[in-house]
Amino acid sequence: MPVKSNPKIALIGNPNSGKSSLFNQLTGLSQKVGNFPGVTVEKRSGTCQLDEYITAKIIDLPGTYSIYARSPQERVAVDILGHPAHEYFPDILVFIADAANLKRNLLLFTQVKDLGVPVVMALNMLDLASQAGIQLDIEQLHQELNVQVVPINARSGEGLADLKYILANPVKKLCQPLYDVEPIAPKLISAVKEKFDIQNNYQAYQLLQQGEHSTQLPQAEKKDLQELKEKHHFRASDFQSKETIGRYKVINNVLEKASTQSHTGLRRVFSKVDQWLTHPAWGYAFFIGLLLVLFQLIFALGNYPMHLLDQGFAWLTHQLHELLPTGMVNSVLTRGILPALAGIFVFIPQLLVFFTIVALLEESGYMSRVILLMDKFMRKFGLTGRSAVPLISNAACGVPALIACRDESSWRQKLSSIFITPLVNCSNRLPVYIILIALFIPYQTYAGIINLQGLVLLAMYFFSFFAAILSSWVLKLVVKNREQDYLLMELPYFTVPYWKDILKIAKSSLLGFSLQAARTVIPVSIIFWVLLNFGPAGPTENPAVFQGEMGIGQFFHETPTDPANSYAGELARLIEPIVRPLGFDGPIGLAVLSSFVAREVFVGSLATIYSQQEDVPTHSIIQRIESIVNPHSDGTPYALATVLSLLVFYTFAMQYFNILGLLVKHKTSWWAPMLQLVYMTGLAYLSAFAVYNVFS
Amino acid sequence: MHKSVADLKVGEKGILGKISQASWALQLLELGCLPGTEVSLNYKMLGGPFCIDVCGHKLFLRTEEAQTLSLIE
Repeated sequence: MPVKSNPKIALIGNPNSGKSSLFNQLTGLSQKVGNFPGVTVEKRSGTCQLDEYITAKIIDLPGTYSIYARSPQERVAVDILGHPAHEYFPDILVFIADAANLKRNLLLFTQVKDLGVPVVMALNMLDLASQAGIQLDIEQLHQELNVQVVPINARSGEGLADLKYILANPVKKLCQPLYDVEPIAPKLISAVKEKFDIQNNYQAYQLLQQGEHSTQLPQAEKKDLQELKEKHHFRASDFQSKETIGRYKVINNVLEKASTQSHTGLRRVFSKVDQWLTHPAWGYAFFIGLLLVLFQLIFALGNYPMHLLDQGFAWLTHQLHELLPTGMVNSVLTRGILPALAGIFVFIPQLLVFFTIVALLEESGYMSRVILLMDKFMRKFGLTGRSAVPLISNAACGVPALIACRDESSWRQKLSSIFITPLVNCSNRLPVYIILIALFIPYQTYAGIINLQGLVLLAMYFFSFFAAILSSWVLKLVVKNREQDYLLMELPYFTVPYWKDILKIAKSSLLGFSLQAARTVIPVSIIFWVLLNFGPAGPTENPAVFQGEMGIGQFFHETPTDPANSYAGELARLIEPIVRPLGFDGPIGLAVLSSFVAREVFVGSLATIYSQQEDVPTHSIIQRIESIVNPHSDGTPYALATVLSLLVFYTFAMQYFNILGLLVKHKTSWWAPMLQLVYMTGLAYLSAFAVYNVFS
Repeated sequence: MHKSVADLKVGEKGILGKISQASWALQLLELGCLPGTEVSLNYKMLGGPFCIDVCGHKLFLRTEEAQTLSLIE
């Protein structure tokens, strides 16, 4: 077959078969990979140099167990593969198969093969298969399935060169379907073939099965399809189960010839381990113990480098302050932007440990055990075990935490999306907790190893976890959930994580967080600097500023406008009575106000505010915070009650700009976001008030 | 009342019969729970998920889901 110079190559496979790893290996892009089902939620593409001449476009399709879509994400696959005219219809499809679960993988394989897409099979996880005592005869598979089979290891990259060679030099031959659907509904299929000008039986049959959801078919053709189906009494699920059973018969025949199974002890050992990990008592004990240890690690490992970074930033600020001529630029940089950035970036060590831990948990396969463990408990609150994952890691944010709000009545759906979804949604709470805790909670250790910071983080984690499931429970009472969901899952094997992957994931999470933070922190810190340095009294009280604007003489005093007389000071005085019941003072109130943009801005704003109050802005951020005296707590730095109140406030307070953006994109009414703002802020305020009064 | 996978004891084997009507019936089929295949109960948690061995791999089911898989006696 002549090869196009830039062929389209699509990847498809079951969930958790290593598809995303292969995609990353081929494209060099670091796409999110995780060891639990459902990480790839949309189609992604990249390019791959197959040989000297050919650059292919690689499209990663969502993982699915069969061509029958169960979710809008899975529909992408049938939408593309069922329509040869589709812009993403691949020239070659790479089917990635998990050798340890080949039988179940082959169901989807026979379906895509019978659609008439040219397929190559990449046989992955052969190491796991042999661990499980499965031996595969690759030549026999090739003969029986009529497909080129390439053994690969998607994680290490073994076999990739062979795969690329085959993709660059494909052999195309027409062949019989592995399983012919025609006998299921002969008249109907030939009618569809004629009407829609299709040659392939299975394409016609899939049009009948799933055509009405297709994005490719015009409305008029969908109507024709509907008429045909009614005329011939098309029974979708009956036919689907007939087809599935028929396909498994074919697959069993193939595997009888191509595979042998022997018993190994290893599987039994793993099964025992899983039994413990998902045990209603030991499983939870292990889970909580694991979180405790990991949270301890975050602060234990992060503390020392944090102080180093802090000193580094202080040094940098000092140098800049000395180097630059006194004036506006100097002041904006050393009292505005740099302290704000330092306020966030000194906590990079803790965040790096956190993101690495999250990546490790996901990669090892432990998250799937958590899903199983939590399922029974979470269902009482209208959630499923699967929704536990986004509550732990921020990685699976594409996975909707709420399954309960699929209701017919639109007002209920609206209510739930306003009042409950923001509580259940995973919105990067943990990194913000980590920053606040590292900053405010003293680094004390008990019994030599247990540090207070880790304990507070664990407490905050459970607090927001229970807040989420309780709000979901309220939702369950309001919205009667009629849709049945199912658990039906298998556990991925425990895998030894590849450090390269782990570090890559941790790096990209950290980079994502930092970039996002820098984007919001810099403008906010500039605004704060302006508010802090200019006052309503303006030129008369601050002749220096006035002169500066006229371009005469020295622009700024070494001591800027007294913050108390600035706009910020005015604002702080306005806010203070409102936030005092929560244990906050004026500066905290201001910083909280600014953090409506995004939670992480809080620390940056606080740093900017405090750096105005010294003659030389070169103190380290941590020393500065430690030296600030909270007016409400006799002489000690921020009292524990104030800090806890702040943490609780941030459990509920909205990252308003992000969510606002989403709401604006999806609906047009303005009252919903406003109502949500009032409600969430109210909730944050009341709970912070309660916590402050309990602890003070 | 027909015996179902939910009635199996740990380690006990059975042959799958019909799958009763349920929204997840087709998914069970797709995951290899076909009439005539052998299943065995690997372990179960108290009222919680069942872990069954079916066609060479382990599958986790809720009690309701296990009840829809009837066994041939």
